[in-house]
Amino acid sequence: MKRTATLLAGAALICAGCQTVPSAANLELQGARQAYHTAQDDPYVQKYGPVELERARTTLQHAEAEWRDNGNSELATHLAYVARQRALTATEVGVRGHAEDRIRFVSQQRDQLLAQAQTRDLDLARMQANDAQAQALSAEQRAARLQAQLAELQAQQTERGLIVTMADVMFDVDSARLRPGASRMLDRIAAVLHDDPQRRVLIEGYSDSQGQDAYNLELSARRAGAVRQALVDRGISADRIDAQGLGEAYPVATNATTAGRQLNRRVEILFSDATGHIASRPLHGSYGSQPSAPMR
Amino acid sequence: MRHRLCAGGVAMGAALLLAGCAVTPAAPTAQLAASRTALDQARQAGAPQSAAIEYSTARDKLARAEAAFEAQDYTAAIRLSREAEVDAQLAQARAQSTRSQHALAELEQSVRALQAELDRTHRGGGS
Repeated sequence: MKRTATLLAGAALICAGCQTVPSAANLELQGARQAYHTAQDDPYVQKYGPVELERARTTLQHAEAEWRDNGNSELATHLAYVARQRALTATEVGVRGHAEDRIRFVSQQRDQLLAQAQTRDLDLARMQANDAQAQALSAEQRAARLQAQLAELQAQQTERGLIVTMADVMFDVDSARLRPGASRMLDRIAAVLHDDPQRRVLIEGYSDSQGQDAYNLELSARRAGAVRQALVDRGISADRIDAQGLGEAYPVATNATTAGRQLNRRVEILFSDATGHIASRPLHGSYGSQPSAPMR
Repeated sequence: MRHRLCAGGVAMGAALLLAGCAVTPAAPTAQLAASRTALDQARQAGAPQSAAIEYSTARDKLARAEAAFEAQDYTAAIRLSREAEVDAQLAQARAQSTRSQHALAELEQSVRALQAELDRTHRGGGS
């Protein structure tokens, strides 16, 4: 081993002049220089692997010196090999540093996205909760307001639905003209219809049994029409309102007394259910002792 | 440290003088220990799997260095041992850079998936 080394070293010294054939040391040295320059030019090696790069540089210097002094020696080959491996190591340290740089950056990106996703989920949940709450509140509020208004209107729950009765005193005597005192009541009815857009009304005019049937029928129809017009004037769509005159049919009291006849002269406002449906009329009038045939 | 530098200097000097075959270099015990440590660290970094060629080269050279040491061929022992050390260091560095690159690739994949999910829910929920 020592002898071959000596021989090789001697051969290298002899061969100092003839550099046309690349020797083992020369090849190794070329590889080391290339690896070192690659590492040196890499900014991530400069940043993360300066220690490894410096080791490679020092060893490469030793190899160059050995090559310069002794030519193709085993030591020159060995040192060049070590220099090359150290330069490659420096490059790998740079690759690792670069990857870890990116990992930090992408981790931040991911955290931001996760925060966004969480915020969005929260926003969505909050929005849904708010919507539900708003709907619940408004449903409650609507119901409460409706109850209050209907109570003030003294609405009566009947088989056909809620009925508000406008008494005879709301109209001028023997006329379809509404008195100023009817305004508050009409405002409230309009408010109920405004709050509850699904609801419809059927307005029915009635008279007492005195006088001509035809006249009674016509007056009751005109009174119903006047109420309808009053509601339309208050912003309620005409197609939500039906109106008809029923004359002396369906009395609510006896026509034998003045007080009874006054009660029978009335306009009834029948509210539909929440879906806009109005139940059909029962066969008999509410005043059972004096049933009258409905007029068709 | 200073002692190690001295030892290194002596070894280097001995190597340079080898051409004349005058001096027998000192036994490279410290260098062999350093090579074993480097090989251990490379193994712990996963080099046998992710930098298999460099790792097995280092292991073979260390074995040859130890054989040369037994044969009291200290010049061969110190060179083989030093090569084993730098081979092991390269194996370790490759194993670590590979692991970092894999971690990065996985992270980037997860971010892309997250981004796509966000884009999807944004379009779906925004309407």
